[in-house]
Amino acid sequence: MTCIDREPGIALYVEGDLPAREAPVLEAHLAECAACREFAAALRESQAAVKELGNDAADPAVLAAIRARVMAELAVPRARRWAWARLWVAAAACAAVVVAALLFPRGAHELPPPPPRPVAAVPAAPRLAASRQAPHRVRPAVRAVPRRASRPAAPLLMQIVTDDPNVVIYWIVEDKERGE
Amino acid sequence: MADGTADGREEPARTLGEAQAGDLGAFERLMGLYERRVFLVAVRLLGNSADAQDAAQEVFLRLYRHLRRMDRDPGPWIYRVTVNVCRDMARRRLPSAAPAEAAAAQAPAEEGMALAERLGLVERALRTLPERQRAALVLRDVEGLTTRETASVLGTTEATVRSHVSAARLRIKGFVEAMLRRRS
Repeated sequence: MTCIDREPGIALYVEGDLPAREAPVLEAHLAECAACREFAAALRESQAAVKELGNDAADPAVLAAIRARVMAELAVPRARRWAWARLWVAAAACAAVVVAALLFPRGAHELPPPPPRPVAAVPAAPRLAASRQAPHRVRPAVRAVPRRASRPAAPLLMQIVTDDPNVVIYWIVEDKERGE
Repeated sequence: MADGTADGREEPARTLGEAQAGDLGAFERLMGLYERRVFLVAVRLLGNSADAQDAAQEVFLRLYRHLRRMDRDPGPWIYRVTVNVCRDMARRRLPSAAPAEAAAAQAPAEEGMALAERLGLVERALRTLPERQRAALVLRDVEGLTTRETASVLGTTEATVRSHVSAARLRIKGFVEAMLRRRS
């Protein structure tokens, strides 16, 4: 084995990385070879500079910038999640309005007619003719809403505006869906 | 972080626990414990600060996504991801960069080799190393990991780490001596 062949072993030996079973052989060679000792000394010198790199300080401003970038990245998805949550709440509210409109069509929500009011006793009018006396009628409090003409109704258009100006939801309810 | 410990004095396990519980401030503190090592390792592996900042950002975003699966000191995991992220970035930029040739072309300009100049020379020498040798040397000699820890981070055997480290040390010595000869 030449001295050049021993260089990889010396490169491990100077840092204590040479396996224990190989170290005695190399140490014996170093004891008798001045060139290899000089080679080992030069290696230790360059290794000292390599290890000195580990003591480098990083610029605090750079580290703060990295941290700020990471935190900004992490904040964006949260903001997006909240935007979507608000969007879903708005959509759910609109859906509830539509369902209510379908279940309770126009007019159905009006109050039923009240019971007939008691009529105060009044003195009987002089009977003129039995044939002209009409029974007392109670007028209902609510009159029936006249049905609209069969003209087709325009579809119901709902616009849901979100926080994001680029996102607007339109909900179109056709005449059939509205139960008319 | 030589044996997986963090830069600062704060207990990483406690900070990790708080971050896992959803405390974003704790995650920021956790980042503070490892950011210096992550950034400096990335600088050594990528050769410049701008790429190293991008790499460090990616490492910490991955840490955040991986946070809940972390059950102990994240140091070794962070080293492993840092090396992987830097490796991916180096491969993506490969066609436009030739750091080894560029580094070798720069000779020290002035007489007298101050420590800072010598360190600069070693940094340039690092850039001449093949990717695997550079990663092994940075972890073993610059970061001070043991051969076993280095092998674990790189996903290889201790024998392979010894082989890479040995070749890297010889190459750096040769580079520095060549630069000194050129100067004289």
